Order: sequence, then C-alpha cells, then structure tokens
Amino acid sequence: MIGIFKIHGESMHPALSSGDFVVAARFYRQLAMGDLIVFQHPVYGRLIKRIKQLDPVGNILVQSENKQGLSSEQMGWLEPNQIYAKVLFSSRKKQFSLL
Amino acid sequence: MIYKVLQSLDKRYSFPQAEAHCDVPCGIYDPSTAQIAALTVIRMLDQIKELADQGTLTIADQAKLSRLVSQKEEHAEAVKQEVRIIWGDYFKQPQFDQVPGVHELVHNVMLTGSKCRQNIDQENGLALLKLVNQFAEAFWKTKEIETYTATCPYLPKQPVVYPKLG
Repeated sequence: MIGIFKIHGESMHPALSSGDFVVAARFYRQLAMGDLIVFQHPVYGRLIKRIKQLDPVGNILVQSENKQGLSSEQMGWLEPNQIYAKVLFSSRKKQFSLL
Repeated sequence: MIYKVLQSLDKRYSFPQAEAHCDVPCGIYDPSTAQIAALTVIRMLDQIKELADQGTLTIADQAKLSRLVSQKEEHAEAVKQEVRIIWGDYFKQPQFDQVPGVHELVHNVMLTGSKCRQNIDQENGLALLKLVNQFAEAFWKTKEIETYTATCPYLPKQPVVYPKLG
C-alpha cells in the first residue's frame, strides 16, 4: 500500500523541504540505515526522519537532517510497530529525486 | 511536472502531513536534558584527569582520550543549545518578569559552556552544572513547581535540581 505525505518543517533540509511530497510504502522488505521513514511518535506525532541505527531486534533510532531538528535523544528508540511507511521517493518543489 | 500533479491532488484531497519539526512542538520544554549534558561534561573531565594522572598513555589510552575530549565538547555545546532553546523559545515577558536575572544567567551558561569546550579544568564543569541548576530552578519557578536538590545517583554524583512532581 502506498501513501503520499506532504512535508511540514525544515528539519530534513537539504534532503526535503517544507511543501515537498514523499511517496511511501506501508509494506516493505526491510529497513536499513539511511532510509527515510514516516512514523508515529508518542510525543511529537507523525514525523519523517532518517534511520541512524537499527538494533538486532529491529528497534530504530532516527535522526533529523540538520541540527535544528529534534535530536535522536529527544525522539528516543522506536519500536517497529511505530513505523508507518518507508519513503520510496520524493517530489520536490524544484526537483524529483529517488531516495 | 509530478510535483504540480501532486500539488493539485493535495489541494483537492489534502494529503496527510509528515512533520519535520525544526523545534520541539507543543510547548514541551525541560531543562533536564541540559543538566544531564552538564553532568556528562563533568564526567568526561574527571576521566580526562584520571588519564592525565596516569602519566604515560598507551595507544588505547590516547584513543580513549580522543573520545573523551570529543564527548566533553559535544555535551558542552548541547548544554548551550538546550538552554538557548528554553530561553529563546519558552521565556517570554511574563517569565522574564518572574526571573529578573535570567539574561545574565543564560549568558554565563554560554560563556562557561565555551570554557568547558576550550580546556580541561574540572572547575569549569562544576561551574557549568551550578549555572544550569540555577537555570532549572528558574524554569520550574515559572511553572510554579517546587524544586529540591539531590545528589544524582550515578557518577559524577553531583547535586542536581529536580522538580517536585506528583
């Protein structure tokens, strides 16, 4: 299942900017470091971030793309069931890019 | 082209948003992250001192020293950043009125945080924690929450200001 999300905020700049769109897959084979994911955070709501680290049981640590964003420590480790979708590609105001 | 298509679809169907916040939303501010970072600075300074007292350093010791210095500086910067965010985003005129000396206090945190990055004097780390504790006390005062001071139950076992919750 595929979902389209509109980006709000600049914490993923330069990879993504506010107003860009991403197409994300609800079902995916596996996640890897560097993947962009959309997930539900208990405090901050639905976020988009990049995977920084995966532990052996599948828990995930994410990071913003720049220092103005929420830090990995602020967001904490995510459990696999919090992940909503893996980003396949983005459509930006100025360019189209595969991620 | 694709963007324009998505944009027009968004206008019609309104796609869900994925937040890429530039800051903590919903007014969630807490000085504890700055306090923990200040404690880390002290711990790094203590371990650097232990290595210095040891005299000759092996390659492994030198590698450890490099990591300690790196973490010391990273966490000193984190203290500055966390305090700056609370002071810049949370504090507004009502809070400034409640804590008249907060500008000077925050400025001292900035200066002392920089000192912690620039050298390895343990007194600077302790001074930084003291200032951050004062800042935490001021922050909780604006929330009308009482505080108490207790020694943190882990190294470097220094006094920390905690909110009295519940």
